[in-house]
This record gives sequence, structure tokens and C-alpha cells, in this order.
Amino acid sequence: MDVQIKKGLLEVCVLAILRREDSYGYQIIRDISSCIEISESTLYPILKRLEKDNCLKTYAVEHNGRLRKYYSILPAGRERIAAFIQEWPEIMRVYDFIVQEEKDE
Amino acid sequence: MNKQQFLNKLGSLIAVLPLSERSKALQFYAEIIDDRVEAGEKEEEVIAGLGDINELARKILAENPPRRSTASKVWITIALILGSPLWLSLGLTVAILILSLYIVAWSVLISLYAVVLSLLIIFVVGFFSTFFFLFHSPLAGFFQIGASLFCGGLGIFAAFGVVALTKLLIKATSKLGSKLVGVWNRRVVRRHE
Repeated sequence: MDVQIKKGLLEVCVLAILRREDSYGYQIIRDISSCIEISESTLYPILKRLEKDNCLKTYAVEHNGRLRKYYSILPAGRERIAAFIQEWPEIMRVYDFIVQEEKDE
Repeated sequence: MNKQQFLNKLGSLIAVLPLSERSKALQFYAEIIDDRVEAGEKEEEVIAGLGDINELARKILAENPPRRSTASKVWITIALILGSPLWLSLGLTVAILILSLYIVAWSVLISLYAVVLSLLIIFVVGFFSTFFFLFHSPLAGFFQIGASLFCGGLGIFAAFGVVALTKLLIKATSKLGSKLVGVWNRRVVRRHE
């Protein structure tokens, strides 16, 4: 998939997962993988950026003698998801436009 | 590569980052490795599955554009203030030197204009005054006509050269001017970041 498009989609995917429940790195990757392929090296920058944009916050939970970082969605993150859902019809229009152009040639 | 080796190597690749950013990144990967090993995977396989370590480092660094921390900004400001007697006077000297060179260039140009003007005046005065005594002393008259024509030609020739020089100097001035404005804008814009 196109890198730029994928980056945008992955951000919303991560937020959608966190909307269901708080999660941690490994779990997020497992859950997203059922929908779209993602690597750890891609996830890390996405989480960083979402945190910087105040779309999520983090907290630590002890697990088997080590600290696990949990991510939790924030209101701005929910708005980002809503915006994506709203934009979808426009994305479909662009898709139809491109497909139409193809047919006309 | 085992987990510790991996984390050490990754840490050294992103060493340029501030400590807080570096440890956050390393903690992220350490946690992933721990979780996957806990889920049953072999440590070596997990680490191999993470991909090329240089690529990991590159992605981490890409998310952290270099930014002057507040602490270093303070030190830089202190250094600038303490050193100001030196660089201020040096800078001023250079600026004045450039300014005087510039003024000299224009003065030379103006004197060249004076030369051109004189040559043309010689031509006009010499040429037309000849007719007053041409018939009295033809030899002297023809010499004067020749000489004034020569001066006139030289003057016109020189005029072209001087005009070209003027255009050159004006071009150089505007180039220097826009460069200075550019440097000034960059510094002023930088300050406001």
C-alpha cells in the first residue's frame, strides 16, 4: 500500500483499537495485524505522534516484575476517529472518480 | 544477537537523541521483545523479526527532529554576551571595511564619469573653436580638429564602458542587499521558533 496512505490509516486503526480498551505495544500489533500489516518499527513513531497530538496518554502497569506501558485514548483521539469516518464518503468519491477515468480511457 | 546486544546497538545508533527520547524508544522495544518471548517465541527469532536495526534507528531518529534544548540555548546566549566585545568589534570593523570599499568603488566610478565628461567637453570646445582660427593657421587648426575628434571618440567609447560599469555596480549592490536581507530574515525567523 502507498506509504503515506498507510500511515494515515494506521493512526486511525491504532486509535480504534484503543477506543475498545486500553492496550500495550505487543497487543496492539496483534490486534491490528488481523486487519492490516504493521511492524513494530512502524508502530512506535505512530504512537509517539498520537501522544504528541494528545490523542492518547500512557501509564505503566507492573507485569511479571517489569513495567508494561499501556496506551489510553483521549477525547482528541476519539475526534480523529469521528473525522475519519466522516471523510470516508469523500474518499469514496475520489475512488469512483479515478475508477471512472480508467473506464473512460 | 541477544536482547541486551540488540538494545545496546540500537542505543548507540540513536545516541544523538536526548536521554529521555532514547530510553523511551529502547523501553518500547525491550517490552515488545519481552512480550513476544513470554508468548513463546525465541528471543533470537523475535529480534531477527524486528528487521534491520539500522532501519529501526532511522525511523526513530526521523520522529525526533533536532531541536535546541532550552539549556543549550541559555549557554549559547551567555557565550554570545561574554564574547560580544570581541565579535562585535570584529564584525563592525569588517562591516565598515566593506562599506568603505563600496564607497570607493562609487567614487572611482564618479571620477570616471568626470573623465568622460571632460573628454566630451574637449571635443565640443576644441572642435568648434577651431573654426575661429582655422584659416589663420591651418596646420594648428587641423591638429586641433584631429585632437578634439580623437578625444570625442575616446569619450564616447569610454562612456559605454562607464555605463556598463555602473550597471555592474548596481547589480552587485542589489545582490549583496538581498543576501543581507536573507541572512537577517533567517536569523529573525530562527529567533521566533
